[in-house]
Amino acid sequence: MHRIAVASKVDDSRAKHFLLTLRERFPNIELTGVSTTQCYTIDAGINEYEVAQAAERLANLLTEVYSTGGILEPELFAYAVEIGFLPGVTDNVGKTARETIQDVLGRTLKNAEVVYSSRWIFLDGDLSPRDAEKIAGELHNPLIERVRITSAQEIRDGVSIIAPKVKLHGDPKAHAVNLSVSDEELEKIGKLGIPMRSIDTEEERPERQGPLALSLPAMKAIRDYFKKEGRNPTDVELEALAQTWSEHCKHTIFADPLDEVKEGIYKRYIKGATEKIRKAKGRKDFCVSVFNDNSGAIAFDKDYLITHKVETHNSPSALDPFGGAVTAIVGVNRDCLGFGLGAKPIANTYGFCVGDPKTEVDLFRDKELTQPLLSSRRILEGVVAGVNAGGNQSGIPTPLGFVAVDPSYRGKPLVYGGTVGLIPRKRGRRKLYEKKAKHGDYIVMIGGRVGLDGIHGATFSSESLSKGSPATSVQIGDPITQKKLSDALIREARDAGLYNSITDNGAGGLSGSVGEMAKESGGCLVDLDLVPVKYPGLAPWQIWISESQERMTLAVPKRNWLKLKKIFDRHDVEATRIGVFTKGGRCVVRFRKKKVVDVSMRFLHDGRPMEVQTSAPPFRAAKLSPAIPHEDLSRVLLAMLDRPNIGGISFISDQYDSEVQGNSVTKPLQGRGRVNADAVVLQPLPHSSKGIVLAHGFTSWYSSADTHKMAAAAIDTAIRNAICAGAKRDYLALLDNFCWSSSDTPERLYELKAAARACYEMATFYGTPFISGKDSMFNDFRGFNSGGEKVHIAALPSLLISAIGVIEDVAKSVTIDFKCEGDAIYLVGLTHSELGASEFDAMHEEEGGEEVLRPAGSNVPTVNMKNNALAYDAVAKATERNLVSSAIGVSRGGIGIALAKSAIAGGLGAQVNLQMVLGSAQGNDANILFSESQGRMLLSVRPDAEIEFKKIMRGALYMRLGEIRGKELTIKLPKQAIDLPMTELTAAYRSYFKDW
Amino acid sequence: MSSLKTKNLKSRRFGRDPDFASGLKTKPMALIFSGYGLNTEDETKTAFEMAGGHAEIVHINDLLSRPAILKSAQIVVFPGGFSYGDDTGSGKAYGNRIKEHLGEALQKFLSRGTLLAGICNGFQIITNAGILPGALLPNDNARYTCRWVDLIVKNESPWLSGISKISLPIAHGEGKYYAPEATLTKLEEEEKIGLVYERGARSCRIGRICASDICEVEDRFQRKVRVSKFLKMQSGILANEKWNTLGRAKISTPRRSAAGYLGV
Repeated sequence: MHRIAVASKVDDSRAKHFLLTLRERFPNIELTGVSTTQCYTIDAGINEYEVAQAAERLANLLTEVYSTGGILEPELFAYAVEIGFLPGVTDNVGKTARETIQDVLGRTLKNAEVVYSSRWIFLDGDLSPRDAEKIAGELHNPLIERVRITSAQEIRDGVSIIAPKVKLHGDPKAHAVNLSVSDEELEKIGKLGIPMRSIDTEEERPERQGPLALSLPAMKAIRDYFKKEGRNPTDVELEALAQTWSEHCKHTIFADPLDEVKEGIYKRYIKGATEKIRKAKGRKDFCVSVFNDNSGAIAFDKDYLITHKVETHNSPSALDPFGGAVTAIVGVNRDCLGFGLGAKPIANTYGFCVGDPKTEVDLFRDKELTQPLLSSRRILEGVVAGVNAGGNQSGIPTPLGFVAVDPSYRGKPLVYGGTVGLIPRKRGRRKLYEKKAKHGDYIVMIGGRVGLDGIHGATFSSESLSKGSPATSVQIGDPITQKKLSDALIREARDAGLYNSITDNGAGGLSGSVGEMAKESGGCLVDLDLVPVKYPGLAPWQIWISESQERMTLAVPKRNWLKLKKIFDRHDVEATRIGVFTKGGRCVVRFRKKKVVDVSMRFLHDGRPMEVQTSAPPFRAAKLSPAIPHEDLSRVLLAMLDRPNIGGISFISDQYDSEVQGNSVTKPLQGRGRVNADAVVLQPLPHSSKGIVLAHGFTSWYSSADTHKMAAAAIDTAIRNAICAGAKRDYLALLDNFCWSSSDTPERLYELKAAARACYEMATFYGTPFISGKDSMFNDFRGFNSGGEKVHIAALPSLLISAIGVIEDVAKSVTIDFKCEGDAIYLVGLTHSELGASEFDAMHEEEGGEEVLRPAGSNVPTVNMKNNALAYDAVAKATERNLVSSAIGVSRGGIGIALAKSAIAGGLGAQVNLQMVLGSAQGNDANILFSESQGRMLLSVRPDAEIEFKKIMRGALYMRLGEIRGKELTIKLPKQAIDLPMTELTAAYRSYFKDW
Repeated sequence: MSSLKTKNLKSRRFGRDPDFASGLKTKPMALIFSGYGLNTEDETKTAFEMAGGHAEIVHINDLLSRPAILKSAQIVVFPGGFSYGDDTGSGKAYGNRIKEHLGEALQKFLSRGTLLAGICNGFQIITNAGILPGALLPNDNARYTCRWVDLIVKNESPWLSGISKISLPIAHGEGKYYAPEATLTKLEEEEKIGLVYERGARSCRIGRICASDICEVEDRFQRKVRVSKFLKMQSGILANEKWNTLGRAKISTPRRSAAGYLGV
């Protein structure tokens, strides 16, 4: 065992950053200095000379020093904290160090020869042991990392080397699971998992393999099937069925009958909407491949399609925010690579929903209060860093995203990741958007190896987060392995036509991908002994369902196998033949020459019993809402800008590369004042001026009153944002991502049905089809507060709508910033008294104060589709004619915030008069300024374009508010007047996340 | 995207058709390195084609097995990206691989009076490979940073001729140029510093010296900042009189900024 330590010998900004962060976090600890050392622990048969050679390459001798003996501790420090990974956790730094060492040696290391990375952080100051512990707690995540705290004296006495080697005991094999048991025991197996067996005696032990999330009816169906087969299932079969039938994979809640909706709400309201729209559009239908592939695809031009897919990765992000978010983004990238025969990812999107990062709410997963939840601040920091690593390292721009804050996201955060792709329609005569594995094709696994990481991801996310949530379900992505895979795939193998089908290894691992592709050919025969593993000793069920990242499965005709293998070898990506696709109608898996799975394809995919669901309307008591106090609205406007749902998130936009690939037209931060936009425009092909508009709509706060109105508002907002950026309603598609909670209760199902119905009504009216979607139904946390009392936190029923459209000329894109002094400001749409569940309301609720009783569900914005459609088309037409200088959708925070954002972005003041707005808010200052009525857009128009603009807008409801002028934002309201300098507004907008 | 039709690319919109290319009898050939996480090779290729050249993307492993490919090229580019995920230090693993296996071949290539550029991660690679002096340190904000900056051209490098000022997006986590004082002085005296930041860098805290800060934003970043550079090599490591090597910490290709004509 060897250890190489590397430390900076020049100015180390990362150590300084640690110091600043820790001081801010622990103001009472007297921390005076921080320095760091990077360590590489080498568990390999290499000699001292080779170690020294490796060290010279792991350190840049101009700026760094190394040691092969000690850990390069500074002269003065109080405590040293070493942080490394737990056994089996993906260690990308260790992996790169291993490759560097191989390069030095000029030979390949054996599979068992591993390099582990760890970091030493040296803390100086007047610290107690307790202080050092607190700091160490802040610096590591015990679910994936190990930590040791050592005093300076102990270090001087010598530091042992820790190598987190994976040791698996026992003889891995498949076991038969006896299902001839009582219903009670059957239910137990379904809920808690298969009992483990003792290694020597084969006897059942109290421990279980982990949750299957199979209901009693499902377990009975399995028992009956295997009765007919004349045997008990193996644990491999049972685990695979659990994965395939999971809510995560089969979307049972959307698929099964709900009340009178016999075909399920997905078929009726989502797919049904798309079918109706496509029919109505006839020859103008732009959908090409919807709902049946890993992403949805629409036509871009005559040669190319664009794809889009948005995923969530909520449960893993709650446990390990960084790993969870890396996996979210590289996972959804694979949904793009896995579309058709492989689309190239050209943009990522994100959405992070968390509890207020500045409010500490201590929660625990266990009654003993030993398993604390990470704070909202750490979750947000972690997921932000995760998408940074995943997106940036993959070379995919990340131009669009949002942060939403609500106390209901404290238990389990929502982490959305989306990927837009580009794919030629054809290569030669082959359509690239269609695929079919054929009988006789080799099953080829490409990318990373299989380990224990990511076991039970699919079934885990189908349950709520609680004490039993398995830590092995956490994975850390390795974006570089995937980038290599992607290069080999998209640049070479796809265009050489070497494979017939491809799918991502996501939920359920091989069992999911192979099982899915085997539908195309009619069966499969897999040999698990051929699957490359990270370490020996994995049981067959683990190999079959592990969700270890960066893997895809291909169907490769025999004659192409060697050619394909050669390409992947050159790119240094592992490609392994693990079986063959068949047509016999059976899914057969072997391990050590024995069959461990042998089930019919039909049972595997269609054997799950339908479960009839019934909903019931929730009881909504009249709600106490904050009374609207008479207050200084200038102060309120500034306070609103300083809220995380409204304020700028440039700290995220700046650290996500939006320029790589050179396709960015309008930016994530717009105008001189760099204000976050809710829509962006891309130009995917450098030789074509055609563009893609991406936008989002997220309005889940309204769910507290009415999920139908919430869903309608989310769709309206996404479309409105897209229109503002330059899109047209007739070339716009939608994606739906439902993140619900407590979805096994009739009340939530009622709310789900209402939201799905709104999706249908809105989409069909606007003519904007759904092309892809995903749902995550159990965003619940069940645990304990610091007093040891039981707590259940259910996330607000949430719906993210993503819009994607095509425009003819990117030069006609519009940004949100005011452009020029003297331009006229227009407001399109009606402003009603709709402050229900608004940001204004939320702020007053937090502040306490006088409350009034309002009927349940009142005051939440209601969408008027007819008015809005007319207005959107008129604005699109004006944009087409270059009449609109700036446009912003009025959303969270109302007109007051929209005005402030456009003004801040442009660095220009404005003088507007809101004394006579159109709509029922008339006369009430707070309503006028902060109501979140839908369908409204704030535009600025050049004076010489006003006449033509008005001509085009005829029929739409709109009014002129004033002009861009000066260095103040001046707003006349019926009772008050606001007059704020732009500097003050700008500072408020940037205030919430200022030091992030 | 190798499939892009390139014939339409001499786009009027994207700017000048350099005399450099039009004066040559044959179009210059640029080899663009790829593999192990480099990721801006497609737009770099497009940029060279827009400028009137030929460009080929080559995987580093193909060059390792056939270094003679270099003979066909007049220009070599190490594009941006995340080789080896920046793990163990940005550009280190890739730079070492270049130094060990292609060092001599690249020296020979440069001795022919050819051009070489390192963009972003490529700059980090060529300093680690010893082709340019110095090293790139983590940004002062200890974070990957992507934003537009204005740069002033400071010398006569063939890469920069005819340009006095340019706006480009930068994107990197380790973009603070470092070299020992003596090296820096020498570089300045010999006018080998090609570009300095004029605006935008202060708020992302990249290096040490910055002429001015126009970004009215984010005043907490009090440090002065310096630039990273295009360096022209003429002596020392390369013993090449032609000043033909360029490393740029941020950089993006003209293509990236070309696409940004709607601007920030």
